[in-house]
Amino acid sequence: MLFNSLAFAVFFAVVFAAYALLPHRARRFWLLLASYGFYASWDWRFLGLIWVSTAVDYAVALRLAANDDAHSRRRWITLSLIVNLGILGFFKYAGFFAESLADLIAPFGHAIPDFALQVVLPVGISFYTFQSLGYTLDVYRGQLQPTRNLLDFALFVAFFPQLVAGPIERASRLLGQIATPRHLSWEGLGAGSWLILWGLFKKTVVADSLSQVVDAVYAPGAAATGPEVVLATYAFAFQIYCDFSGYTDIARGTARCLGFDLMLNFRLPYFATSPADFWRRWHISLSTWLRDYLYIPLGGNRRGSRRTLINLLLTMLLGGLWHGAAWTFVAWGAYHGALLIIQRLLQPTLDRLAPVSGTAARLWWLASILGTFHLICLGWLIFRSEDLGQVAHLLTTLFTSFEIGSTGDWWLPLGLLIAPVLAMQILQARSDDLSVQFRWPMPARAALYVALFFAIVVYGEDFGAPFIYFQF
Amino acid sequence: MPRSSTSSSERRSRLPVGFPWAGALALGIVLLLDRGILGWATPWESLDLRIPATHMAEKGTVRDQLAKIQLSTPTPHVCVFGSSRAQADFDTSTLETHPLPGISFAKFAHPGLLPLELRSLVAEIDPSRCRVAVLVLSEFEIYSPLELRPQTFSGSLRALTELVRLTDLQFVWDQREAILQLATNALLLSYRWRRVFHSLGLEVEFPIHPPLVAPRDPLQAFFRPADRTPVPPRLEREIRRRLAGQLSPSAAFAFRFQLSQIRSLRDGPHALVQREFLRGIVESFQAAGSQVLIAEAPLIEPAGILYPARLRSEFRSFAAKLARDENVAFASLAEGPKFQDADFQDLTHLGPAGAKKFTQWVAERLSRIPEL
Repeated sequence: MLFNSLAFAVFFAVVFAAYALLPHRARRFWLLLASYGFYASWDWRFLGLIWVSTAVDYAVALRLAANDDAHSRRRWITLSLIVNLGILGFFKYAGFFAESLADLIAPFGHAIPDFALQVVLPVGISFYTFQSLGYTLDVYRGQLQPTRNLLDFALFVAFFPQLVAGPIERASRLLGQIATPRHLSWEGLGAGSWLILWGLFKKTVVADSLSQVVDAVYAPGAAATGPEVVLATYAFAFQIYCDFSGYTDIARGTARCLGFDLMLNFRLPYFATSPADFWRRWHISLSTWLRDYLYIPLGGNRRGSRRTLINLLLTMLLGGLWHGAAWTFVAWGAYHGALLIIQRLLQPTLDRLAPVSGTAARLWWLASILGTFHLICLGWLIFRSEDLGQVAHLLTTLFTSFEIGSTGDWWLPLGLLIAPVLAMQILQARSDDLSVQFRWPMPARAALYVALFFAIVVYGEDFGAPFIYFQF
Repeated sequence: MPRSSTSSSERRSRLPVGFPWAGALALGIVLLLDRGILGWATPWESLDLRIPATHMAEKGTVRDQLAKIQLSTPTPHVCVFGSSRAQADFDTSTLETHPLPGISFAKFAHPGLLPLELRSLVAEIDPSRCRVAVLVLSEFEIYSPLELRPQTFSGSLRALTELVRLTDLQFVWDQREAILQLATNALLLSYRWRRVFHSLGLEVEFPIHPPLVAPRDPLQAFFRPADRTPVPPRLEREIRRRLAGQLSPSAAFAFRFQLSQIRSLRDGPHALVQREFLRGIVESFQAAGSQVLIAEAPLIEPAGILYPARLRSEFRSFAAKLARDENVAFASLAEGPKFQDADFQDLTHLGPAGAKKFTQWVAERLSRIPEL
């Protein structure tokens, strides 16, 4: 059941109506039931994995809180790590490693059994395992008191708005909201509806329309020219942003309607002035998770500059691998790791060169944004490619084929699709307010809502196109 | 002064705090635009001019809308209903003399306008506006698999309720997304017409990439063969042999698709549902005081080898019985003009000469109806 489907609209209407009528205690049970129903609509067989993750982490957290012995606590947290990472590793990476091994041993006449290559990836597994694991890690580090209410914890793991593609919530934020009665308000409904509308627009009108150009150029064996690759990569940059941030907006909007406040996952990422700044704005729930539970435990920047660079690279490599079991994601992670390392090495020089005020400072700022955007786009080329062979082919094409190709026909529709998103972001950046439209006069807001609504209904691609991040 | 200040604050306190007034205003505007603009002929006329003739489905649905708006005039109407075959086969412009002066023809015909869609359309229009309703039918309408095609088709809630009643839970579950889309069609006109608007949008005015337009081909979008069983090559070869040299380039384009469409005709529970819908349509017109003429549509003879021959005779028996039961007219091709292969433009539609012959025959049968 996709957010951009009529089935979800009906589902949410029913869930919301019943939720509004129920008392707090029953509401939590109802939301849990709805969340399991929502997940079962993808594949009920994998509900068992959520239950395992929930039961183990619930019990482990209680044992951790009840135990002062460091050795024993380490054993309990190891159990949580093994279960969560074991589930994730098996379902997400077993096929990948089996395939890589199969390629390796094939020249020697050996083969891997078929079943090892055909492990189905349960939707949302990367998100809920990280979320549940984050909880036990917080309890282990003494930053959080465990909940004794299994219902609350089960809902924390399975809360349907963010179950299949995040944001990866922290227990310290969401668990408290689940435990306390939620107040339904007109403000929440209005703000939530706006997020849903804007998210649907970004997904169905912008992202799904852009995908036509992207898919044509990035299709295996497609013969594209250099300028076509450039334009398709720009298109993909906005496609993946609108797709994923559109999903997040809908997730946050539905949660907001229900009285919950999910964390911000995107903060104008293409306005970033450096790769490090980009990661403070892109998929914030994942980047902060990796920072808090991987980068800092590895030592962060406290163990000397060389170790800091290694930690950065390791964190980004694992961040890349988290996105999927493919060498392109590993390469993408390594590329971003390299960008962060280079930035760290060059930062003192850049700081010295950067003008402090005036037009020069503004031009420097603009150049930083454009430069960072193009570095990110190069990363997207690696990310979107089917394999490393295609990466090499597209990079070669970029620098050897200069025919205009179809770009003359593409730039206008692409520009028209991207313009509304860019315009809104410029307004948000200038006002430093992601909800800038709420400051507009009522008629202007109403006109915006009407325009978005008709754009979704008329120009939205057929409802039901899956979100890109569902595969991760 | 204190009085006015108190009453003002009292008034304010009665308004819900934080109520999304802009959202409410937007909702009102959406509803107004949806019903207002889309119920007005001029935009549809301009759309009709912009849609190429090859886009039969989009053109047909836009013309349906124009015909619906046309029905609101007090002129007596003969309403013609049917699929793309009625769209191609029944063409009053081919009539040398109008046999029914003072009567206007309103035609509702486009690809896939099968009994369910017809039922939905009839539930939407005012049937009493049609002095006579002509249903252009054949075995296609009864034996085609029941498959919902929400794109641009109307979706009246009444027809949907009947669909749910006539089918079973399994069908409703399997088709749940399509049923939801049809329900949305019924509630929101702009949603119903999105396919038409979309086909006239970015990719037409600003072609992105030729291969990218292909998946939006209206034939592919509107007809998903319910039966994926391929047509046996032996039968395909036989039909090609018998029609050698007679197929136009455009017919050759649609040939494979039409083969699978005809091949999917079969008897089964769906035929009972389709019959029920047809009976419901006739009863709706009867209840509104309109006369009904069921006109049998011709099918090219070589295509008859693709499905059981008895289906045509069973269709005639059903139509004759329906006509008797409901006291309406049935024009059977068994007593009508004979159509040669050369009268057809492809496997299912008549060409200009055939359409002229068919239209004259139907018009002649219409002129026998005393109410006209």
